[in-house]
Amino acid sequence: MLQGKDDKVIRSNSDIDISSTITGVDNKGNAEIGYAYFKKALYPTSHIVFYEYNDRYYYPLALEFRLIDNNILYLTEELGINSVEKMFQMLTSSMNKEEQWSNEFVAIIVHVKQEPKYCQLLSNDFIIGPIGTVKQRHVYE
Amino acid sequence: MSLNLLHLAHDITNDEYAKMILSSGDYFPGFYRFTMGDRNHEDGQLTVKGLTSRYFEQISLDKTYTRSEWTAFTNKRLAAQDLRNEAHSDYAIFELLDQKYKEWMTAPTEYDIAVIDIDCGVDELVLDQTYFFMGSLIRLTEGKLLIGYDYLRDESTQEIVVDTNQIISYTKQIYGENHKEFFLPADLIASLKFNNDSGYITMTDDSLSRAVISDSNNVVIASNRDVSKHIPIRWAKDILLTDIEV
Repeated sequence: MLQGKDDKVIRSNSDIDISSTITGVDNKGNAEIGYAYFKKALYPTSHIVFYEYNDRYYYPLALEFRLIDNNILYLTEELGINSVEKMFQMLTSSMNKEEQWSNEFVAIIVHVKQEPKYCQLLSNDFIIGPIGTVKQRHVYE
Repeated sequence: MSLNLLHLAHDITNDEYAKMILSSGDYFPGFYRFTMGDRNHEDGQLTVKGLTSRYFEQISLDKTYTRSEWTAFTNKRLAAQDLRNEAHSDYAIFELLDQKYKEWMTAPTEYDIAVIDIDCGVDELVLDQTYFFMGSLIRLTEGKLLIGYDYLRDESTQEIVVDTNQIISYTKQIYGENHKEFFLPADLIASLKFNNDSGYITMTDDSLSRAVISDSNNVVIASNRDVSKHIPIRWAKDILLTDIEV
């Protein structure tokens, strides 16, 4: 099952003022989603999900559309930002400047045994970065 | 409230995936994307009339224009932004972003060009009509939802097999009276490719017709084809080419 029965990742009614971000992930890969009116969508932590398969990283297209706190493929594919460390610095700086928000980003790396569906394969040289520099959690299938 | 990331990776159905994408419309589309309200025509940016005039000049007189002429409008806008960015909280990071941003805007070998009819949002999706939706161009054909649709080349980055009647009902259900704010008729109508600093426009008879019948209140935006042709959201941040005066 993709989502809990009361979840809104797939909307069932008109709630267009509500934005979403991932606020936590457990060891089984269940991502906690925070929903709030977009002007109040201030979460202390935003989680950005990457899949790892066969030593390559993938970004899920569904999340590129559905979450508010990023446009990850714009950064990786269009601007060529191939490091999560740089990406998080940019996102933090932009949030601080544009929205006067202060929160932190955590990379969630989900290690999967088969190539994930509906994902963008990131470049060969895409790196997450060291644990001491990039906050990260790993989930294993 | 939770979303299972392993299900998302392996077991998500076409229906779930399509509905998750179509659920993404909101008034705060995320960083590095524009909201609909920001898409007003700016004096000096490329127009349908400007594009088609330059195209006819090219095919009838062999007349082309240089990169600096096509990017003059963008360069003017970027110069104004430089002053603002100097005040950024982390200038070193923003300098890097700025440098990449400028290259992305002004240095591609090929741009794709789209028109968006900004005042013609629809109350219901119809088959074989393309819509600008949250930075992507989407289109329903019989039995399929096309993501990242390219009218000029008749191709898309993804084809999802769906029950199109159900999808039409679904978007009406979740967007209600706001439906028209999120689904704007739009199409990729041209490309501009540089060779030895000369920009060559490509249009087809169909895309030329589509351009000409655009609503009078439209915006023409560009996308860096070199780096974005393979991704579904490639119209979220505009590149504005120049309405070259002759």
